[in-house]
Amino acid sequence: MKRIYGFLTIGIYAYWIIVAAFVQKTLSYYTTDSYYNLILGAAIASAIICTVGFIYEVYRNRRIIFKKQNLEIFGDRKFVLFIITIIVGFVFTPALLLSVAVVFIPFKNSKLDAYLNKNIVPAIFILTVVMSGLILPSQALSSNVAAQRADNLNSVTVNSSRTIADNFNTGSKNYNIGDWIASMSFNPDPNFYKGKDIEVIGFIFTSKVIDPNTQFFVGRFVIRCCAADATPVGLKVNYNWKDQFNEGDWVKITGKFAVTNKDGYEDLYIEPTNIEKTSIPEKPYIS
Amino acid sequence: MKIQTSTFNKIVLSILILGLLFVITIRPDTYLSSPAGADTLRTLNDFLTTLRSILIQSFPFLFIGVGISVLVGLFFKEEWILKFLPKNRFLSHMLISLFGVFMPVCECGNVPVARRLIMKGFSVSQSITFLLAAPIINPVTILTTYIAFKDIYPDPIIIISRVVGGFFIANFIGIVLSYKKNQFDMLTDSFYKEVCDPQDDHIKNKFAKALDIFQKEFITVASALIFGSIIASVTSIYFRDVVLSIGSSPTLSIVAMILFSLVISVCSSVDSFLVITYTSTFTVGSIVSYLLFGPMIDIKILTMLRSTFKTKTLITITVLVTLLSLLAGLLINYIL
Repeated sequence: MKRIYGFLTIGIYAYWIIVAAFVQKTLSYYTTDSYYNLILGAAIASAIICTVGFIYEVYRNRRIIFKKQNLEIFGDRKFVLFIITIIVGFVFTPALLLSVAVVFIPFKNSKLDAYLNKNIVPAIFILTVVMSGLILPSQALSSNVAAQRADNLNSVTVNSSRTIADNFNTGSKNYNIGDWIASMSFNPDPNFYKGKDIEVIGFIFTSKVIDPNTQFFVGRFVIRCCAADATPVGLKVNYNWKDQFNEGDWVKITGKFAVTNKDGYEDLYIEPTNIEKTSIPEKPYIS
Repeated sequence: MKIQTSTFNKIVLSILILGLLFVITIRPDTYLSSPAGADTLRTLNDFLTTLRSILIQSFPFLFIGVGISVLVGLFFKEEWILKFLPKNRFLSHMLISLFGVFMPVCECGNVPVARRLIMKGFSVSQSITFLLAAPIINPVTILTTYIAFKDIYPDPIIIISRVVGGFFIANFIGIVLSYKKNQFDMLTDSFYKEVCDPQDDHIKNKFAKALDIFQKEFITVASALIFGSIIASVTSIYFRDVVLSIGSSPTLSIVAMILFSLVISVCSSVDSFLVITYTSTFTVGSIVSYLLFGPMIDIKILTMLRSTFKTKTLITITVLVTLLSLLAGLLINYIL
């Protein structure tokens, strides 16, 4: 009997990943392109194995499962309450909290409790976390993380698709932030970029090193493997942004690079001509 | 998971009731639309995204690890250990530390394999050597380390010290532990019971046996992984900066980097890419310590290993790994 719970749990874990990839389309918030096929392959394979295992176990234990007293569970108060809260939860999400509460509240003479008292704590634990992913899909990492990790901004290497230092006069028109960072690690001289046109999409974040009223960073996250290793990259923008935008807003910025001389070293920033709000791109991270 | 079901129920129940009271008293709609509320929501979202990304990213490695464990469970013959493994404890541990070459998976995938190896008759110390060495001495990790550092340090000091250091630490700990008389004393009671009397040995049908091993190993390792990743994603969001601000002097930088790798719990195959961000501010020795310590010990791995080894064993391993990787870092800092 315990195996049935096992297959069900792993199956839902795998199903969650498949849903995140095809229905919620949030897989790109968690990982990079290069792992898509590996992750999806493993998820689909596990889903198939679990379905086969589940059917096999149910068939093998059919005498025990479909006994008459086992079917009484459908008349059980706890079970009925649980199903009702789940259905309400689809309309009014906080009710799902109640449904989780119902699972853990002991009822008098409940058939369901008799099942739950068997040692399936690990399975319930996995299910709670995975179901939260099915019900409340999360967004991409926010500007909070970027602000927190901005001390070492731009010291990361980016796998840019462009051949670095190709013809800037014609080629840099549709560079994204990653391409700019890649070319800056190749040629860090600020004066080289002075006056070049730029048009990039990124989110707004600030940090301790800049004046948050007149400057902000437009940035993206670089990830190698999964969102746990995200490192921010960003370009400085000089603009009085506080009354128009909030931290974390995704914006499209057009402008020119400019250089000022601050305390003896040259400081590169973007002089924007136009800033407009946009929606979050399909692939929020660069790699 | 040794928590009693009823105690666990009570804990979860009280957390839920507190949460509900909290939600009712602070009026979520007004709070969440305020700037502070939006900030809290963003942090919560970052926590969930980090947690889920670890769960999704480790899924294929878990799957491969469990798959290998099924293959070992089905086809590995116990006589092979006597036949092929050297009797000498030094040679046998060294041979086992090279197993990782055939298993290019992350450290989370190694846990189910190690469990199965113990059940097939490997000694506990040998499986610990395997667990510590395999994440470092495998082709994927060596390749990514080479790619990450080839532009930063022209001489291959990092990659050589990582492979040699990892090999040495894993073997040292394994050989030290192999002198322990009662090897099974290092295992948890529940796993020891399973080693003595493997439930799946009673299943004669190969198909049913494979399904059973798959399901059992996956649940055991996945629940520990989820538990560990919850802690790891909280710490990686809140304590990352605290740890990094410890200092960048030759000694303190090593301590900072070791704590950093403990806190962030990133897979061994990509941790070198993460650390190159800090090469400008931290010493070479501290980077080496990080690269040695990270694959062997982190929060995620410790909770996963807890399903197999007693806490006492884990403390011994952690202390030894910490001291040895600290020593390696100091040595590198001293030489350079």
